[in-house]
Amino acid sequence: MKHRLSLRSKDALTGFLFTLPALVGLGTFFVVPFGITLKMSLSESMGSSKFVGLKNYQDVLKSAAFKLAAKNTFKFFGVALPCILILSLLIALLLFRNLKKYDIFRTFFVFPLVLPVSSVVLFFQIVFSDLGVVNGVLEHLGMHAADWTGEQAFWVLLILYLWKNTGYNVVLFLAALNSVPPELYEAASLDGAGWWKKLTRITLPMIAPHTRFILVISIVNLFKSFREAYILFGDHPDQSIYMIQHFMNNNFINLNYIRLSVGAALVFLVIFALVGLLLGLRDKDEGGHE
Amino acid sequence: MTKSKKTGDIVTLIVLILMSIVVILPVLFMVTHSFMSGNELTASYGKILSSSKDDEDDTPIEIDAHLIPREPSLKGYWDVFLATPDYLGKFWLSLGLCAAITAGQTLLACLGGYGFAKFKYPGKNLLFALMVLLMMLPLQVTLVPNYIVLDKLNMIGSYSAIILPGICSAFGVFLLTQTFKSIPDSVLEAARLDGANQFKTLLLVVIPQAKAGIASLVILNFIDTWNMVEQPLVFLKDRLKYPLSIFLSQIKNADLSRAFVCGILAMLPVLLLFLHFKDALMTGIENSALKCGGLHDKIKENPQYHHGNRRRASRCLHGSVVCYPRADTAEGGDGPTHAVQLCPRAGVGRCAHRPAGGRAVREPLLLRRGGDGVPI
Repeated sequence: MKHRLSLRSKDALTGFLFTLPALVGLGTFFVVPFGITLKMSLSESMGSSKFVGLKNYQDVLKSAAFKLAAKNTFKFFGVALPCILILSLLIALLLFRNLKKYDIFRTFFVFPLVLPVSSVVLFFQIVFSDLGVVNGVLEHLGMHAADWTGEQAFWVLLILYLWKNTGYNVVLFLAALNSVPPELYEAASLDGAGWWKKLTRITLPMIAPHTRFILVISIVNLFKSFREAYILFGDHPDQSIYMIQHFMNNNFINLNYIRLSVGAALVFLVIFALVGLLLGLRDKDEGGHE
Repeated sequence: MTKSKKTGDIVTLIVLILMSIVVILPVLFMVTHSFMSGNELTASYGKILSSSKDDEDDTPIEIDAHLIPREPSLKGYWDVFLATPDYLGKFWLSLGLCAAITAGQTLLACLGGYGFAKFKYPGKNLLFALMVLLMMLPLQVTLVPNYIVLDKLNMIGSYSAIILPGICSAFGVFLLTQTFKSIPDSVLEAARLDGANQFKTLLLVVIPQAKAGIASLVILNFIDTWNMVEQPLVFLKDRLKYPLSIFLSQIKNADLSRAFVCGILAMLPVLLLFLHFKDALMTGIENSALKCGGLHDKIKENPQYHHGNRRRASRCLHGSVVCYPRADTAEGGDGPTHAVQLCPRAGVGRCAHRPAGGRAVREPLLLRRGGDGVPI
């Protein structure tokens, strides 16, 4: 008995030691300095560490720039997440009809993921500029040209996000579809269930856990679309796509560390809540299986 | 029935082809334009892309977008690859940075992933949750803490300021934890019984089994570092030290034919990596999601479930991911098994007996709404 116990604790120690290098690295570069950032967000200024409570937070939350950034970020989330989930699920369902035959298409859809945006930025400039291809086509069709680098930049960013990230989600959805036992569909067919019923009663519930993971990945990638926004529109873009990342970046350039740390803390809070929600849901689900 | 399926197939094929063209168009565009002469590019796109606004006279108002070069020229390639050393210098610099970060991160992720996936210790789940959280944090949040530490370590301005935080990434550990979890414990136990120590087990048993996951980490990581913009901007300060990813956006409007060729130069390494590791990448991406579906847990707990899934596994895209051979079912395939698939949320469950040596016999269907599946 005693022997077994010591074996187990030795095992635990080995496991801990294996994870230690990663933990130390993450600790030094992220966790500990993040603590410092939090402390800074509660201090009077960079120079004095006088505790001022939530005053900085009040200031930031009241500022027009932050309000605009938060509004636009949530708007982008609200539009982009449903778009990418539905689009990638649809493509996955199409590909799933015949995986072997359509394998080449899967490759095409994943390809933009690996492509540096800076290497195709010229294409997007040509397509979406005032005199660009899209406006040319619109005018040809007798419609008004739109300001794709200004007011309508939101949609350009959405298209870029979908272009880049749909493939990743398609692969994930295909894996999810693959894990649904085909017997269920056969059973449902015998029972006279139609295409829609099979989708809503079997496919969607069965892939729900995967969908949650895909949602997490989509959110992570959403934050990366700032890079595209930056490369295409610079650090002071049109108001419609001035997002939380622009807010952070511009405060970085202005060396306004207090506002920066407050922004970081607020974004962290929101993401913490999101992850908590998603992980909590997963635990509940797994409990349901037992 | 078959006729409607056939038209469905044709429609699907057309839709997929159209979508692929849209997706690939930017790349095609860049490739064909890299072979156009400077004059042709200026004549066609000068209005949009030219940085000099003075010579408005000789640039036409309309742009003229076309895919096929009218005056094919290799001048751009000559300029970028042979005439000026700057571009290739930046190219090798970027490649070096990527190699350093990717190698370091893969090593760290292998160790950490093994620890998280195959051991239990108090607080492990909490630490793992913390990692998932870190993984989700956008760069703009982590950039501030990073800067503070790098400043204290006196690294701002040097390449280690980019490499060290790059190596310590939560995503790598997360991905490899998920990958390693899918390797059954019995394989590890067998290795241990054969006298392998933990490092040997990791090196000779776990890593070879998880090749696809590791390859996908390598390529995803490489792409991420190859494309980085924010970290060099903030941490390097000296413009001469910037890697290709930023250098590119600075030169893009100077000389159009060079700019297009530089785009090609920037996509070349990731393109080659992608073509080479395509399958591994896809399998790795799939693998990162599989654990979440809970399939592996079911296989682990219930060998029959695994057995019933073998047919499905053989249908799987790239084999080895979904199922690993298990000693206890590999030769027990002839015995009668009683496989039950459950779908509790859908309220659909079905039951199939598999008599010895025969094919599965379909039982009457059990369809229950809101039930908790069929008891074994």
